[in-house]
Parts: sequence; structure tokens; C-alpha cells
Amino acid sequence: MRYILKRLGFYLLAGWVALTLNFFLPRLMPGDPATALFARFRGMLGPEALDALRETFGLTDAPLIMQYFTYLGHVLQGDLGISVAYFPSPVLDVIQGGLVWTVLLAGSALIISFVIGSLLGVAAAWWRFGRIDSLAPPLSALLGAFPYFWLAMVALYIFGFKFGWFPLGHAYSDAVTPGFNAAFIADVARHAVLPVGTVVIATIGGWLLTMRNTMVMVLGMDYVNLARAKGLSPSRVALRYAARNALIPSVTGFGMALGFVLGGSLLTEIVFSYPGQGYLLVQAVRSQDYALMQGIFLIITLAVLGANFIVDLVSLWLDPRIRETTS
Amino acid sequence: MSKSLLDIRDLCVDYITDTGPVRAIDHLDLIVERGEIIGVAGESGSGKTTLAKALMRILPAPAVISGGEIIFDGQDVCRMDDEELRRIRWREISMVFQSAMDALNPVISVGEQIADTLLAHSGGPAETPDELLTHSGGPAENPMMSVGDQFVDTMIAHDIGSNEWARCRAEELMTLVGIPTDRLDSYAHQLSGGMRQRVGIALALAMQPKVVILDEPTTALDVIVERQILERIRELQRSLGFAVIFITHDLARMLQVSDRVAIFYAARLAEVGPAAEMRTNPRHPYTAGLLRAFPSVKPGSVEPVSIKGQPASLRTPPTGCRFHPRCPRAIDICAKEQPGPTVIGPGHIAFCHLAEK
Amino acid sequence: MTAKRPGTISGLSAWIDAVRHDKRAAVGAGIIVFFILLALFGPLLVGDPNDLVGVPLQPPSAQHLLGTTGQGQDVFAQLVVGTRTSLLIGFSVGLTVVLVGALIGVTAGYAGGRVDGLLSLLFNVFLVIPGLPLAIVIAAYLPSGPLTLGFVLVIAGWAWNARVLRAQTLALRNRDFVAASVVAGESGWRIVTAEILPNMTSLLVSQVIGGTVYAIGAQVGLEFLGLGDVSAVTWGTNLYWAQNDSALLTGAWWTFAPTGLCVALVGFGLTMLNSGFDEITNPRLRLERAWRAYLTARNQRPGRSTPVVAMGDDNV
Repeated sequence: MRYILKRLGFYLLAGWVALTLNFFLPRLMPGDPATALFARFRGMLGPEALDALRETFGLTDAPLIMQYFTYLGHVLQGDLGISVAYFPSPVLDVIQGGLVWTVLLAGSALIISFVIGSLLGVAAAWWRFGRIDSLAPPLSALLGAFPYFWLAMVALYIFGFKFGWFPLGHAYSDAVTPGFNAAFIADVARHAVLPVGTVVIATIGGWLLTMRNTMVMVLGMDYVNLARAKGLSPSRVALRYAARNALIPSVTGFGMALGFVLGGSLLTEIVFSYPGQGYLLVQAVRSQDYALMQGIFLIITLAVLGANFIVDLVSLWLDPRIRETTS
Repeated sequence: MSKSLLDIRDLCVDYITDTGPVRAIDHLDLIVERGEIIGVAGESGSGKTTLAKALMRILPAPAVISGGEIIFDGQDVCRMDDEELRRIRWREISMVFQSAMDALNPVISVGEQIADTLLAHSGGPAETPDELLTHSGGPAENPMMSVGDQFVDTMIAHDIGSNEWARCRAEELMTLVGIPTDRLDSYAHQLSGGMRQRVGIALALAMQPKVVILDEPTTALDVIVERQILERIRELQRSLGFAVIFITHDLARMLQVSDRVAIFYAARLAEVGPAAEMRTNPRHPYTAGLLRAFPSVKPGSVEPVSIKGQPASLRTPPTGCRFHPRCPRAIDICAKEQPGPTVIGPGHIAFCHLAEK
Repeated sequence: MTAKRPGTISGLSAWIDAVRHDKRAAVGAGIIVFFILLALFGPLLVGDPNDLVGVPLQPPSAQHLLGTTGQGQDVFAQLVVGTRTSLLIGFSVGLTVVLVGALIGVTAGYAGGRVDGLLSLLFNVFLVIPGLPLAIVIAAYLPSGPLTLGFVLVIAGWAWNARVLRAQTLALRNRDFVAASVVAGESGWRIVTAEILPNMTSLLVSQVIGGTVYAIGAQVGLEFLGLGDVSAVTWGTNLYWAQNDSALLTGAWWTFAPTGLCVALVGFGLTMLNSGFDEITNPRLRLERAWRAYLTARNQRPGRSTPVVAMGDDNV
């Protein structure tokens, strides 16, 4: 279908922009890019290894365009360089280690937050001027104004430090052995409550308001009025005629906010020493590990692009009108 | 003598704005008899669409009904609660909305929307064929022949209230309005304007109500399609016997189709009477003006003359007779006193000081 | 400057109106005014926040209103002094993203065709690339400081404004009064500056407010990571040091709680200003409020059907 191809093409373009950005950044900064990138490797790597590293980033003596293709070649093979902070592990390995935790944290927080927030939004709009509707906008604005990581600090302080209900950090404790056993899963869940809860609280207001505002607009449409006039039951009008239509812009908004929520989630990981991409990122910044930083940027960008593509597919399924449009 | 189907008494409808209420319908008295086609004409802002939605109380905010009664088949709609309203909506009164594109849910197929309606009112297997038959509107003098027979057949073949029954009934309705049944699974945006309007009519007839309100049903359509639709409505009305309230600004079209015609101006009734009489003997200058304003296809007819001035503002309406600033025959009293009803003939009433003479 | 077109509500007077009439906008304005005053005059009332004034990690007391940090500095002084820089950077970035967004968005919306296609593609790509990682990667290569911070925040944030302003430009472009100017032969530049932009002033103000909210939050985030100038005193660096000095694990809540609260209050205040303005200018919302008030005055609640109100006074 033309729509799917068009969207795919767009995401490929965006991915290419990210790659190219990664290529040019070290070259745009004042000074020799090689110095910046490899300063920390002095003494740790032999000359052949250093040369290999230079090639990974395309820092050869060839003309710029050749350097670019060298660099692209390496990336497409999965060679993102060697990490300084986690020397001598290759960047991709380091990233892969933390990927699952970020996906777990951000993924579950996003889903829980979106579903609950949207349901509350439908309720707020349906019982307009009721309790939910009056409290929701200012409360959402207030909760959403706190930096996610600050909420994380508060949550950690109150529930971890003061009350001791939840562990103070990390994804699981040393006492359990990783694997598909009940003890491990329970332990992971316990460690995930505060981080996931923080992101949920910080973001739920946004989905609530978006859904509520969209619902209010949809409730004013003629087809909802007709549905009421047809004598359909209130629940049917609310769900099948109103919410179903309001879901479409909400899902679009979800796609647009994905990248933003992910950013906040990364910062939250730091507070909880949760071993995901955010945690890795801060280590990279501290060690001036540019290879790792750029690698994380690339992987996160690709993940967000992929997620957006999935959201587009969902939109296609939800809205039959898109299936007809050609441009 | 059976009571009138719809008896509107002293109805007032206001729109609340931040500068105070604006009256959209001012002390209206109107009667609709069973099985008749009554046209309601007027310029935009005259109150006619407000009336359509007020009858079922589906006027959205910021409207309120601020007085009067709407007696439908002996019961006052204004006193009904939400449950009672839900029971008369669509079973007794239904409506074809003005723009069918906006009135159809864009993400559900057309067939499902018809099925929704049927299933919402089917009441489940408890309803016997007799009960269902008596629900269908239509005066005793016009027994429902073909459609009624089909209806009984369907009920015997399927469980009432099941999805199969609803689908079957939906197909019947589509055939009734002249749409191929394979279009049941289409979405609104896949159908042409004419087809969408027909779907609207099929929906309106689904429960065989006693009265169908048509709110500008053909404004968005071209002339040929318009004619087909209106003819179809006439046929259906003849065979099923429901009353029709036909709202439009196109007076000429309305006069062809209706038995009686009511003319609205600035939230008030100007004149009401049998269509034939209104065409030949209009007693309100506004009616006469409307008739003159439409071109006729007949040879040798007069050039159309539009009514001078703008429609009256409802926020600050003119004193006395609201038409007086634009009336070519206004006299002194017109600016001072609101004219009362003057009986011109049987069923023909005009609200004009000149008619009193 | 051309006369205001009928039907548009724009300009400063509408904002003042909103603050006067809408509770939320008034609360928001109050909060913002408080913080602006704090930023302007606060530093004069407290000592140098970098001074080591006491034993580290002391809880709030009469001597140190908000206690001391992990290094022995006065938390209250740090909070007050940090206000100025944080608000300044926040507002500057907020203004800049709208300027950049307007430049690109309005051009795209007005020019149409291939220019629009190209510019739209540009901001759509920037919209979909996640902002925080992008900002981090760029900031890591640049010297730390407010300019770098501002620069990366603008790069990460301009695309949203471009998108909104393009949409509004398209809507205005199709209105009659613009068409009239085009037919009259006015130059595109003149049409944009004299007809389109003046009708977007309220949207632009609302965007600047929203941009400031984004900038303050994102700035604090980047500084928390250590990408700001960690020797400077700002809200974000305060939080960076609190985390670095293991405030949580020692239970020193005063080192981070008040700062975050201030960030949230400012963000909340600005958001309230925006939504209060929305209530006042959106005609549908205004009508709904009037209708609700009318019903409440007659002891009725809005229901599912058109309400029936007993006739009080006749207005025949």
C-alpha cells in the first residue's frame, strides 16, 4: 500500500539523517576530530587497534565522501567502535546489554500510562464538568510540570529510603539468578515498580488531556448527535461512536510524544541506577566516551523510528479513511 | 376523531450566549397531522433547523427549551426523562440530517450503523411479532403491504434481535431506498453524496416511525439526484404512511412535495396553510416575496425579485412584526404591535396586520 | 499596521482580559510574577551561593532556611540565585524556538509547493528524531555553558513550533482577506508581515509560553546529566550536585526537593496562563460556560438531552 511505503521511506530518510549527523558531528567541532574521539584511548590501545578504530569512524586520509561510505559500511555491519567507559567492549555489545531494561521500563510505562490516561480522558469528556473533568486539567498540568527524574528522586526517597517498601536501585538484586524463574521475575517486578510508576505518574496527565480534548470535539460532531437521536444506549454512543473516533488523533499524538517520553525515561533510569540506555548514557558523558554516546543516540533513534512506524500501522488499521488517500 | 400526531404549543427555544439568551423559536403553535407532509420554509436563522432538533430534544449546548409543550401522540416531550426520550427517538420520530457526510460515523461501515439502530430497539426475543408490528408507524387506513409482509417474513426466518436479523433488515432498507446491498460494508467516504443521503433515509425509516423529519435533505446534491431522492421519499411515504416534516429554504421545491406549508421568519411563524393555496393566494408579504424570489422554468413568467434587506437579527429583533423593516407594504401599526393569527381559510392562517382587514 | 480583521482575537489586550477574568490564568500569572521578582531581586538578599557556610547536609534550620548541600553550601541561596539563570535561559530558548519555527513554518505554509514539501520534510524529520539523545550528542562536543545549552535546546525543539505555525499559516492563507491582497498584487513578504503574522499574535504568544516550559524542563534535564556548566549555579546544576553527592541515600531531601518544586511551579504557572487564555478566546468554550452557568442558576445540571427550563421572564 502506498501509505505504508511512504511512511517507511520517511523513516528510512530520518534514520539516514541521524547516521549522517553522527558522521559529521566530530568533524564540525573545533580541532582534530580524531583527537577528540581517541584522546581517552591513549595508552590503552596499540597502534593497529587505533588504526582500526579510526577506520570505523571513517577517519582515513581518503576524501570526505569516501570516508562517509567507509563509515556507513561499518555501521551497517554493526561496528560502532569500542567503548571507553566499558573498555574493551565494543559499543554495540554494551548497548545490547542495556537495551532490554530500557525497553521494559519505557515500554511498560508508556502502555500503562496511555491506556489508563486515555480511559480517564474518555470518562472526563463524557461526564463533562463532573469531578474528573474539573480536577484533571490542573492536576495533569501540575504533575506534568515536574521533571520525571525529580519525581523519581522523590519517589525513591519516600518509598525506598523512608518506608523501605521498594529497593533503592538496579533492575534486580544479587540474591536471585537471572532466568525465566518465578523468583527472578518477581524480583524484577519489585525493582521496576518505582521507576515505571514514576514515568506513569509524570506522563498520564498528558494522555488524559489529549483524549479528553479530542473526545469533547468528537462529541460535538453530527454523527454523535445522530447516534443519540437514533436512541442508541449511552454506552454505545460513548464507546463506539465517540471514543472510537477520538482514539485516532490520540494515537497520532502518542507517536509524536514517544521520543519525548523516552528522553524523560532515560533520565529516570539514572536516579534508580536502572541499567538501561539512560544509565549508559550518563556513564558515556562522564567518561567522554563519544563512540558510546553516538552509538546510543543511533540505536535509540532507530528504536523510536521503528515504534513510530508501528504506530502508523495501528493508525491505518483504526482509520479506514487513510486507506483511500493517495498523497 | 384521532388526535393530531404532533401538537406544538407555545414553544420557546433559546440559545444562551455570554450576553444573554437569544430566542430562536418564539411562542410557536403548530400542528402536524398523521400521514401528512408539511413543509417548513424560511431563511437561515429563521428557526427551522432548531425546531427539527428540538422535537427530539437533541439540540446541543447552548440551547434550552424555555417554555411550551411538544405533545407527541398524547405525551409531552418536554416532560420526558432520558429513558422515555430514548424510547420515542427513532421508533416514533426520526430524522434525516442535513449533511449525511457529517452525520455518518466515518470509521464504522454503513451496514453496521443501520444494524446498531435496529439492535438498539429490537428489545430481544421477548417482543412478539404483534408487538413489533404495532410499533411500526402508519395510520390504520394505510395497511403496510409489501414492507410489512417482508417484515413478518424476516421475523419468522430469524431470531429477532440477532445479528442475522439486523443484517437482513438492513439489506431490506437499502433496497427500499435504492442502494445495492453489497454497499452495506462500505464506509461513508466511499459513497457518493446521493448514496449517503439515501443511507440517511434508510436509517430514518429503520424503525418505521410515525414521523420523519427531513432537514434540508437535498441541499448538498445536484438537481437530478435531488429529484430522485424526493420522488423516492414520496413513494415511501405513500406506501408506509408516515408523516413528513420537510425543512428547506427552497420554497418552490417544497410546494411541489408538501400537503401543507409553514413559513418561518425570525423565530416566528409568518403563515401556514395548504400548499396549493399558499402558492396562489399568499397572504403574508414575506411568503409572497419568497415566491417571487425563485425563478420559474415556465415560459412567460416574471423575473425573480429578491426581498430587500438582511434577515432580522435574533439578538436585537425589530419591534412589532419582525418583517416590517423589509416589508414593501408595511403600515404604522406593523412597527408597534405583533400581529396575531388571522384565519384566511380552512387550515390557512397568516400573521399579518394587512390580512386582518 | 493594517486594521484588525473582524472575528480574530489577538494581541496583548486579549491576554490581559484572560488574566482578569479567568481564575486559572490569574493564578498562573501570579506565580510567574513571583518568580520573576525572585529572579530580579532575590540574589540581592542572599549571600554568595558558592560560599561554604556550614556543616554539609544539615537539614533546614533558622540559620539555613533550606539546609546545606553535600559540600556545605546554603541551599536556599543556591535556589534563589539559580532562578535568574534558569528563567533567562528558559525564556530565551522559548523565544528562539518560536522565531525559528515561525521562519520555517510560515515560509512553508505560505509558499506551498516544493518549498513547503522540503521544509515540511525537514521539520518532520527533526520531530521524529528523539530530542534528548540528540541534544546530548551535540552538547557533548561543545564547550559547556549557557550558549551550548541554548543552542542544543533550540535544535531539539524548533520543529514542533514550525509544524504548528505552518498549519496556522495555511488556515489563514485560505481566508478571504488574504486572497484579496494576493489579487491586489501585494508582495508575498508584505502579505506575510502585514496580514498573516498580526493574526497569529495570540498563537505566537502562546507558543512562546509553551516553548519556555519546554526549555526550562529540558534545560534542567541536560544540566542534571552534567552537560551544563557544573560550576554555575542553576536549578539544574543544583540537582546534578544533589544526585552526585548521594543526597537520596543520605536522606537529604532538602537538597533536591525545593528546586524541583520550583521548576514545577513555574511550568505549571505558565501552562495555566496558556489554558486560561484558551478558555477566554475559544468561542465555543465561552458559550458552554455561559450555558452551564445559566442552567446552574436554575438548579439544573447539563444532561444528555436538550434541557427544559421553566420560563422566567418573557423577553417578547
